[in-house]
Amino acid sequence: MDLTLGPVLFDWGRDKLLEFYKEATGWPVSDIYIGEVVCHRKRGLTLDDTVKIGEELQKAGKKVIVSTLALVSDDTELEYVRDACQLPFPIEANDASALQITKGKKGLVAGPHITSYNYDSVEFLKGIGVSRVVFPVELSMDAMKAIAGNTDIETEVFVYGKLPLAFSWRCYTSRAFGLLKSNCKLDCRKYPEGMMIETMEKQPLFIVNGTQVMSALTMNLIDNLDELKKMGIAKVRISPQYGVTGDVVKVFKDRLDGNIASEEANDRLMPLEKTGFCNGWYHGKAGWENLIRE
Amino acid sequence: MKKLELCCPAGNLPSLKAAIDNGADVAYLGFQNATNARNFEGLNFSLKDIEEGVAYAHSKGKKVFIAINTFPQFDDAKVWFQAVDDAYKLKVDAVILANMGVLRYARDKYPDMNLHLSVQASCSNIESINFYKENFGIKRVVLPRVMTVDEMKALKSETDVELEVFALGGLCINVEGRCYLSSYVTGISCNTGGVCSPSRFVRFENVGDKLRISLNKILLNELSADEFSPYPTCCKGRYYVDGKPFYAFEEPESLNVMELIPRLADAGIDALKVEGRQRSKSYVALVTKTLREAVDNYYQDPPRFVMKPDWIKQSNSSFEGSAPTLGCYLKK
Repeated sequence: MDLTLGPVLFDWGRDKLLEFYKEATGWPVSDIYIGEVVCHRKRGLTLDDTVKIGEELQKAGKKVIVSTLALVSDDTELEYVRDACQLPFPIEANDASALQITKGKKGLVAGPHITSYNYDSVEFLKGIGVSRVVFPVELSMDAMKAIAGNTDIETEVFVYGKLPLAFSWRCYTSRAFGLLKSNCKLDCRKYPEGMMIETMEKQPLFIVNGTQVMSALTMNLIDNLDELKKMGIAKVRISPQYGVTGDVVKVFKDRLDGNIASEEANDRLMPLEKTGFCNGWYHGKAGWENLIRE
Repeated sequence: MKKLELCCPAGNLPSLKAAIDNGADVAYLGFQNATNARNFEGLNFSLKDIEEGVAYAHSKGKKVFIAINTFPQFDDAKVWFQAVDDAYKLKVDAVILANMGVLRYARDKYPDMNLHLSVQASCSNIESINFYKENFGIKRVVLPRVMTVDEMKALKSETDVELEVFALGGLCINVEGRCYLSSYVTGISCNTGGVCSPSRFVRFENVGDKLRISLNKILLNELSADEFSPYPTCCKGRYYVDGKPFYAFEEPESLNVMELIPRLADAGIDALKVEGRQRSKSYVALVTKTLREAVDNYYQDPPRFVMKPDWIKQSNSSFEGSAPTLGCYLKK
């Protein structure tokens, strides 16, 4: 089972991203997803940058996959996806539009925002040429097991990071500044870890990242890597988090290689996370809960 | 001229009859299980009710659609497949599906079945429409509430697939089918359990002069006596954002785009949908009657269409206190 590095979901700006991917060339991950999933208005990497970074990562032995927008609701967004799909790398589709545009393109990945909730959906996707499925984060271990045990398609599971919970036409970061998406001032740049949403009791609940809502807690499945491996999962995804991703990757690699036990792995992850951990839907409970499986 | 078709919600047989009697062209409904996105207790139709509902609607020249629009997990797909089989046998006029596995089953087994794509499939651009058309032969897409009318018009100019849009009722601010807020807090969402923010997790508690509303022990709002809250879902909660209490996602609002009927008709939209299978028979009767009047009035003399104050009053009175909004139909 290999580690993958998911796409950067936040707006870190071009310089930070260039630096991030330069560092990533040395990280022990097999696959790196680059490209924009959340909002085309961010001024991050250009398509040329993406190609250059992709080539550098390939030289470092990484498999490079370009991720695409999850919500495509106007011509500008659709053009953005069409352009991304033309890049000389396999594509991760996060909307049916990208599945259509990339028809016949090799190495197509159905991303976590394609609703691959069951065996029949996965088999359908396989039938149209998809070669890897990233399970939606809302699936439990049992649901993933039921699919992975029956299909021969390559599967990937989101194991670490802020959970992507929702997308909207509305930019929630702009809304907090009294603006609309269409006249946004790129305020998400000020929140490289997302903008915290706390309950009226000051309990951190969500973060907003432009048009995306994420979990305030970080999903962490480092205790479950052996189980996932036994289930036949091919890849596990770490979702980039500002300033700590390289350290997180190293902990996961040490755990995967059996160099450290779960307990030590958790001890090393703890200082890398400010808000706390959850297990998402892995145990079939509410996403924010943090359980130890018996 | 082909008129805007009026699709109205029915949570039970009396509501279906109320919809048809008050001018709906279509009543849409669901089975009594997790195959539909309004899987509420005491709601929805038995096979016998559907049979009677279909007979009633067809006798008046009207249609019935069945929503089988959630995502099966584990071995549950057979329950969804059974729902498709039943819908076919019941001779409903269309099934509204969302999941690729269920779509494939319906297309392979019943090539003549009329398949619509649910809003739960989040299909909002021409490439996605072509994807679902080529792979499953869908005849209609229910658009998620993420587009302006101008964008809908541009989309319609590129496809012969029918477009249905939401006109009235509860408003999802996040794209349906990809929103896990409810399941993050409770473990259950529309996608998997057919329910957003299940009532068994909701608590109302008076603390001092405040009403505290929580969902599975997470505080969603704290109201003073003069404040109002619609049914509590995560997206309608009030939170601290940068130290200020704020409706971070949306104000308590309901969609009412009746005034846009001329623009929606001009955009080539085929059908208007009213949200609210969970609402009462009197809600269905009131909003159907009002919308019917407005649509008919428009077609009598399109250039002179003017909103009547009664329509505004009647439709807004159905919103249980939340304010009307045009959502993103004019600007984003």
